Amino acid sequence: MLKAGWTALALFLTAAGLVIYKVAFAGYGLESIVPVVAYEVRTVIRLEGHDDPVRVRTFLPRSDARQTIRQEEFSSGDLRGSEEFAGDNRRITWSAAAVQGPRTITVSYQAAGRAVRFALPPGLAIPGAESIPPEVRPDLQATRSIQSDAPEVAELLDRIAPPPRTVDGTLRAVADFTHGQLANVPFKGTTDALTALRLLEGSCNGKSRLFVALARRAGLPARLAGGLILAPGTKRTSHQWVEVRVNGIWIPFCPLNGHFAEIPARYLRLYTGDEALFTHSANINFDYSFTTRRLLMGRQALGGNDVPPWASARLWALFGRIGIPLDLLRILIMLPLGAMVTVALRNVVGLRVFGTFLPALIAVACRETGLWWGLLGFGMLLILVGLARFVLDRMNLLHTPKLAVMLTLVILAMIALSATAVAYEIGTLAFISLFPIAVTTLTAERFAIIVEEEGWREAATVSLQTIVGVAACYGVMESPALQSVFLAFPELLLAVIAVDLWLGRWMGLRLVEYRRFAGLLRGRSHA
Amino acid sequence: MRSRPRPAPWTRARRILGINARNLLYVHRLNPRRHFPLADDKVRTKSALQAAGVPVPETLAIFSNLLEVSAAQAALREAEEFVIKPASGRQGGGIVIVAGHDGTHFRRAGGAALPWEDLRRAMGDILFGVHSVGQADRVLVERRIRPHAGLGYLAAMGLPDIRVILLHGIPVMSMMRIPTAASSGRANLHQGALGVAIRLADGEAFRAVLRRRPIDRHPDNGAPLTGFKVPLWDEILDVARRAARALPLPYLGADVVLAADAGPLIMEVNVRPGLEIQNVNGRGLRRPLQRIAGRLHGLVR
Repeated sequence: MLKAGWTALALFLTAAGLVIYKVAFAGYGLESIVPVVAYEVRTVIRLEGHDDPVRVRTFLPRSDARQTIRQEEFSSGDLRGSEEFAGDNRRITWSAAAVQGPRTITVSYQAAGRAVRFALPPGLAIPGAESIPPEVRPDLQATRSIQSDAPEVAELLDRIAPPPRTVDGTLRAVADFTHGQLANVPFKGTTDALTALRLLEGSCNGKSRLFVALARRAGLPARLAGGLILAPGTKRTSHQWVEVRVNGIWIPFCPLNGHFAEIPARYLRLYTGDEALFTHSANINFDYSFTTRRLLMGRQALGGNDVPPWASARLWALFGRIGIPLDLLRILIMLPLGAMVTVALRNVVGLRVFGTFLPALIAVACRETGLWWGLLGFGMLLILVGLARFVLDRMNLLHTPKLAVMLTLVILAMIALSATAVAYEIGTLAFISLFPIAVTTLTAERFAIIVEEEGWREAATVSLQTIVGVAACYGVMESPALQSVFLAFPELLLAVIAVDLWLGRWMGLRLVEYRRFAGLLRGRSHA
Repeated sequence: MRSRPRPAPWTRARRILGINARNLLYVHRLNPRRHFPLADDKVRTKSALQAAGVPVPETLAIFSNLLEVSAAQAALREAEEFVIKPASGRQGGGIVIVAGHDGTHFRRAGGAALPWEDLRRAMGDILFGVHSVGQADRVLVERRIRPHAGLGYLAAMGLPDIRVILLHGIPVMSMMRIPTAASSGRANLHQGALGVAIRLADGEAFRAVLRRRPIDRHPDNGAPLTGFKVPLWDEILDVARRAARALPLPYLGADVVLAADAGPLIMEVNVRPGLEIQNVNGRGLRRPLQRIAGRLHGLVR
């Protein structure tokens, strides 16, 4: 008999061997093959005109050494957009002579950032003002909201960083004070440096202005930087942090989140300087939001050309050439992991779930909606279509035609949910239309059968266990770390098969059976 | 009192047969998949058993479509007491017990009127596969079994059955399932029927549970649930053994009923017999199964 155990071991060793070979001998540097986490950012601006001229101005991100921007798309209807460069910033202004009624402007782009960290030269003395180039001089000046000339700022600087001052020592003291000694408060509008100091509290912009004021006071050119912290979801919050010029390089600091001479990959810079992200004409009922989605991209998609000759990046290129997006490759490669998690939940834990691999499939479907909206939408579909089935059952229909009606109802319900979600701006629920229709239909059928044969209680229990399964699959399949590793080393799927084989020979009691046979296990048994 | 120390929980866990072990070691290893329909389809089970001379309930009719059902109204009226069931039903779903005809309507076992339209729709549901594993099904009409007088009050709420688990035709463990008011006359433990452990050696009831809790007396009529001996026990085991040997399914659960006139009959067989019998008997299935397998291999005397 073919031994599952030995086969599993052989597969596992093969996978490990291939990975080791690629890393050790084939020049597979992890950093060159691991895909890049990128984000699709969609800025939606809404306004309402009253037959007056309208002007809206904001900043667009620029590609630089740290961040890459691609696939920009704009739509602004009858508002005309014009772009200009102002210093380091890219500014866009939409305007129209007379606007009547609501308008929507959308800007979307893909952004990928890189985490950077700088080592400050230790003991470097702060250079004199004469060595500062003229174009940077404004970044040493006091302004109305960055009062670096105020006596309180001077006093504070002398207290936390007494002279003689070094660049690294001063910045460390300023960063520690603004991050550690100032209480965090939610954003309440613009806070100037002096107010933040007097109240000993601030949101990102108050803290950053005080940081800049202290740095300027110490003779270091410093400026605000503004942008977004990229995370999946919809929000209105933007962020401000600080850049200080040392040896001709602008070095980032974030006093709110305590980043010292470093900045995480998910910070997207939109502008520098003490600017407002949006300026607009008055009385136009202005509103905006940022919606962010996480993507994985091959490094070459971002313009890098440091791909090793036969890296698995070739696989992406191959898929790319026939027009299959990397996203699909990612789903294909992660689905076996979801299936493995489902197997473990069913046979080791003993969860009772709808369908064989349904939790993994629903988890895939949730990648657009996010887990919670996905589960909520799926639950609503189940109940809606499950209820419809009771009506259909009264009509004594044959099985397949009945399923066809249910499938149509699933689609109608999806469209209705999507339309409602768009109309009322309910999160990402609109993406519910991307759910696998046939799978959803069959699940609704299973749900209705369980309700009929075993009651609502059991159906609810199974639904709950399915939800646990979906969450587990989602956690594994959407984990960026696992995605990166499996995309870089698809041969690890052999190891997944090995685990499946091992689980296939698992004969232990399922966890739920410990409860089922609790009486026997406690030894309340007949001799 | 025994002084022997109680085994540790992990030792006890190894005596319990879980779903994984049952499927891997017994159901799928021993029972060829192509023979599963022999157990899952009662019509096929009955013909295989009858061919081997194993007693089964009398079949009155088998319907494959609604035309046959409609044509059978008069004949069913003649039959008076009968049971309709799906040939490939699950967990007792779709079973209707008819106790007679009062001139205008059929009557249910409880005495309630059952208009022909309702009975016909119940059979239609069976044909459409509502209660079945597959997509469509057949209606099996059997003569209603009257319980053996020796069962006394145990049969007051419905017909009890005796589940015997057999390995290679050798009985491994058994229990009697007794319907209660709570189980609506069904011999289904999950729906609130009583489970009574029956000693294989002499047919004596030694332990009873209701919803996994030990119990001494029938909750509806106070009949004692332990200490009695199942009538015709040797014949019951003999019928179960003959059924197991007549089917190419070495791991099997046989459900035997004790009829008033005909004695033990095989009601149905199950190719994936449930594990709840362990909770009823208060002991695991694993060691008895291993002992039988070992005895057959000549390893253990």
